[in-house]
Amino acid sequence: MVVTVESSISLTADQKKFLVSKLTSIYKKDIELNVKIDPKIIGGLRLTTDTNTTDLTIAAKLNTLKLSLLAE
Amino acid sequence: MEIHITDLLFQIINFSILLFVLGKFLYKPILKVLDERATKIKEGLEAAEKNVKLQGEVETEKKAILTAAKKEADTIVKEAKKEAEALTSAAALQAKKDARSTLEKEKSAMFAQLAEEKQQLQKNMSAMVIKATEQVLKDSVSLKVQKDLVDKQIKSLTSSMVGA
Repeated sequence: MVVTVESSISLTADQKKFLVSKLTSIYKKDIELNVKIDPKIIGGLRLTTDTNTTDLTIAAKLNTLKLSLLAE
Repeated sequence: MEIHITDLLFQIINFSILLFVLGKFLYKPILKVLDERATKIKEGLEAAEKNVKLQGEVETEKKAILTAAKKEADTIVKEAKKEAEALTSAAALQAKKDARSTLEKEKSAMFAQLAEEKQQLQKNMSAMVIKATEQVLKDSVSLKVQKDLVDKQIKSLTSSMVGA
């Protein structure tokens, strides 16, 4: 299973290893990471599979805050 | 003094003739004229009396008509006054209502505009704050902070977070 990982900085080998281990235990599948660097996300991770996106980035949190403020 | 029968007889006959003539040609016409005059006077008096009576009736009727007319005029004036007052009152009420309605509309429009401007201002402020925060974070989040955040997120990953 391929998981695309987006981050504002490049991940260390330990981080990648730990992430693969964590994802394997969650999905119960072999995991292949596709790592991308995107400084625009400011900080944190964005994980994307074929069926799901988990956005934990600071940019996403700011966007949520922005939408919430503009909706008022 | 000597009385002569013949003369006396003659005088008596003369006087009788005179009486007859006077009675026939003078006394009766005079009586007739007097009667006619008396009748005319009586008629005149009756007419005058009738006139007086009629005048009295006319006066009474005139008074009654005047009283009725005055009463009617008073009623008309009173009704006109009442109507004018009602009209004035209605007009004043309508004017007041119109003024209040206009004021309410103006007020509503003003409040709506104010709310719109406030909302726009709030949106602009929010956008500015987000943009500034984004810029500050981009400039100030150090590599170490970013690395720590990634570590923390990896550690805290759960199945519910990734939709597994």
